[in-house]
Amino acid sequence: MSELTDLTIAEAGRRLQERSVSSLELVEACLARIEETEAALHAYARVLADSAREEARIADRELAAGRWRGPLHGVPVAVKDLCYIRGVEAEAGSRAMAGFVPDHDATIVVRLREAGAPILGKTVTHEFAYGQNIPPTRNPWDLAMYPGGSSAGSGVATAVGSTFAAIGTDTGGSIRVPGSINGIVGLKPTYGLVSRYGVVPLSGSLDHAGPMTRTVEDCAIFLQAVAGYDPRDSGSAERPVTDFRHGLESGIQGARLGLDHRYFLGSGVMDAVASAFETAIEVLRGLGAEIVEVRIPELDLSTVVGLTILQSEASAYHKEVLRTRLDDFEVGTRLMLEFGQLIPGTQYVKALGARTVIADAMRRSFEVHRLDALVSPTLPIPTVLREQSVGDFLGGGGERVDLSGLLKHGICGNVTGVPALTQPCGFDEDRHPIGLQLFGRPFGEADLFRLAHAYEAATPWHTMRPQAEKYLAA
Amino acid sequence: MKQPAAGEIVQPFYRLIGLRLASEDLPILTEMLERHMEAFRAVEEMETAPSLTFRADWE
Repeated sequence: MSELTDLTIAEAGRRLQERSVSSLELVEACLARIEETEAALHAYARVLADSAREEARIADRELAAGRWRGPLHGVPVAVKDLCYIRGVEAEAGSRAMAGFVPDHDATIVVRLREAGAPILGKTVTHEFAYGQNIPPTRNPWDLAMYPGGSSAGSGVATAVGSTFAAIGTDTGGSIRVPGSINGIVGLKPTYGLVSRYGVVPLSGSLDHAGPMTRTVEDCAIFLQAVAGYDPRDSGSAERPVTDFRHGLESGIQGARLGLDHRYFLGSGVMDAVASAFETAIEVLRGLGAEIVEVRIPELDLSTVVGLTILQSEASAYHKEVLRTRLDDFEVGTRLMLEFGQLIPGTQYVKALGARTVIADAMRRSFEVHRLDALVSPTLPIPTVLREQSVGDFLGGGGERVDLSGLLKHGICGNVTGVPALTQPCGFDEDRHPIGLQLFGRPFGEADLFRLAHAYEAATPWHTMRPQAEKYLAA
Repeated sequence: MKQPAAGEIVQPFYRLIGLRLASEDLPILTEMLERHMEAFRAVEEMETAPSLTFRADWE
């Protein structure tokens, strides 16, 4: 990484304000980094160099004129290739979308433009964010391993500094999984906080869009720019947006953190993950937090409930394209979309009812135990071999991994709608990052940022980057 | 009456809804359906109220 691309958003924003660096210099530094890394890592589906330079020049003129839009003004970012940018091909990682050019920006892109952030390009996603194919993106920590998904490109580009931050989307963990695997911060916001208008849907009632950054403060800055009510998104929450950096530095003395040991640390959790997580818990205790053992048995059903909703909604959305362009889908995506047609409507309705029961159980646990957050490892394992990362439709066979194991820790956040943040908390013996996950109260993102920022300030993990020689020589 | 096996249902169902399938998909879809039905049994046993909209708010 160059000195410039290693800056946090907060640092870059301050330097832009004091005019010790220009937005164009930041964009050029990221483009140089893209040039250096893309041959090996394939994080970008499309680089928008010319428009990013033009947006940077506009930001520089505004900053010179004293028209400061906020801490993201002039800081280059990237968006997942599910988000519409007017006039730019949106392929969502699928041949079935090849050649589609939207005539409008996604709301999230509009808000990034309003914040003055140049957009470097669109990052690679699994096909339609379904997580059923192997994306071309490589894991910068270990090229043989899965880079996470579906927001694979956003996670990798943020980790290696070919962007300062990126938009990801999360339907069952797709921000937090690549966040954890790439050793960065990722937030699935509360359902309804960030608009999905102009973002290709996977499952309308489980989809979320959110930031992927290198620090917690950057995550708060990014969220501030993109959060807020949007009448064009039927799931959008009509409520005021709070200051997400409020109280960021005020520590966690007396915070009560719930841990459902049985659900999150039961079978399937690798020793390296359990060990890094237990160490993180000790750090949090040392900072003044109290760890409270809780039991939420309803979480056991969150994977089957979430998948029933996801598969039904995804198949409904893609129904017509499945009939007309069946051969354009990757095999795994095609099977999942075909399968969703088989789920009875009565089960979909039952799953929606069960979702409410699971969300109520989560709420009761927060209330009864007076919790500030729930904590867990983000994933039960650090990552898997790249070839093992495709869905195992028959279960248990060969060397493939049952991806429902990767969903278990994450999809309960989508089912309940609560905010969930991942941040790095260590490595396994092969130097694959491990993530710590915090679940908060709905619209309690500022509390999550306060907790995560205190942990980050007490640990070195967020400063560690993948070693360039591991991927630049490839 | 004997319960039909998933395999006896899947192919006619897709024909009924007019979805052309690759022949190699049928046995996989049949097994996926059997596994789903098994996993969903626990949800069927839950007491739930109808709830067709979802809001994350706890207020």
